[in-house]
Amino acid sequence: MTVTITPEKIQVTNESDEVTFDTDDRLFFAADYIVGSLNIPERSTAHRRTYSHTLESCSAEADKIVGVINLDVSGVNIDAGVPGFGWFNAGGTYLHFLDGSNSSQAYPHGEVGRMSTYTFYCEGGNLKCFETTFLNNVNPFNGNILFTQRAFTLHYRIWCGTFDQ
Amino acid sequence: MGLKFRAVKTAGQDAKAAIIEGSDDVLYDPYVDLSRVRCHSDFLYPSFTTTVSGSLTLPSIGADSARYHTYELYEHGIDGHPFVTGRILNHPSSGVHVALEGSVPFSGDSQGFARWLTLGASPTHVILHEQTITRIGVSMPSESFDYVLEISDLTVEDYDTSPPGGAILSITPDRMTLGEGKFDTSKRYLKAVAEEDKNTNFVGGETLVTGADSSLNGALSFEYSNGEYTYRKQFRFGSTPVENLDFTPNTAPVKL
Repeated sequence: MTVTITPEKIQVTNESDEVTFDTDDRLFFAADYIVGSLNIPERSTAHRRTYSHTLESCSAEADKIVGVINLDVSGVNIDAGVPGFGWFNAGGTYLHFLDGSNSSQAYPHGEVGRMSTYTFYCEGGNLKCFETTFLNNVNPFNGNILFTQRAFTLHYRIWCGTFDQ
Repeated sequence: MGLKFRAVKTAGQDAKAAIIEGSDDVLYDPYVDLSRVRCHSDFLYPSFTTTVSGSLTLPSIGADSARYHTYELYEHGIDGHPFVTGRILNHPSSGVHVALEGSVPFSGDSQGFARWLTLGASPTHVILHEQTITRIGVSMPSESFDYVLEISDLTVEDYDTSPPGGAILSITPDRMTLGEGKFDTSKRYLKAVAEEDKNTNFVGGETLVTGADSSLNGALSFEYSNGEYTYRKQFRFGSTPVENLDFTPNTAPVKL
């Protein structure tokens, strides 16, 4: 490894002569590391809404997040979401619930009819979570069969930041 | 304008160190002009220390069924849950590398039935959770893919904003540390690069949007996009899409 310092640039190279650090790099940096929990209440069909949950304040410059989430369903076993023993990548959108429904065929899997998703993001100096919950009825020809997505808690550990310009 | 190292310790305040251009105002407050800051001890830089390559075979799934399964990809040997990211190499539908950030659809059909994969860590392993439903009369075949995992030395249990310790600024012939170890050139950091130099697309926000038709009984429309790979299920009522779900995700080409 070598550290090279000139008036214009500082570089670090490894044993393979690959540059591992360069002051021209546009690094992701964060001013805030936010720890918290978001409680999602029970939601039942027919429920089709979006929610923008404002969680914490953060740097106004933050426009990207890096972090992890953990699902707590308080011991209730549900066929939805990631297992509670893990912490999962919080980038992009987390798909929590996915199921089928259909208006002309028998339950359950004629069409994708139920999804709930959660996206962590930074906007205007706040860490937010955008929730979409679309829980259609199952089969109108067999009666409106209600479905319930159980309440759960999303624990999060999020760096709010941006890339160097 | 040349670069310079600056470090300061004021009584009653945390020490600061930075690589900056121009006047020292950005040492005391980097937000004065972020364009003159190359590295600053006020900031946090999520770091990665281990890269792992592997492949995974997903089993076939029968028609009209569901699968919820967690695969153990790599025994990380870290005390706690490390932060992990990664990418699917040469994703079969798109041919591009797809970041394993959030939930990623793998090998979906036009009706919206896909395997959704979410990357994480247990106390012992890097794990990948699959959530899949299959359509009436349509099974899913067994499929394989290659992946790369990037594992952080930061864990959920141990990480806070306090620095690991050490000098406010240290430069040796082969290493530079800054901010009492907050930044250490022996580690790797997430950086935005030119398109041709990237490992993958970093995802900074929404990758999946959902809509619905006007009835409460029909199918959903949804669209996944990581900037390069788009997977959509667009339900149509008659000949008209229910909703226009086209969106542009907040992404950046990155390299670790």
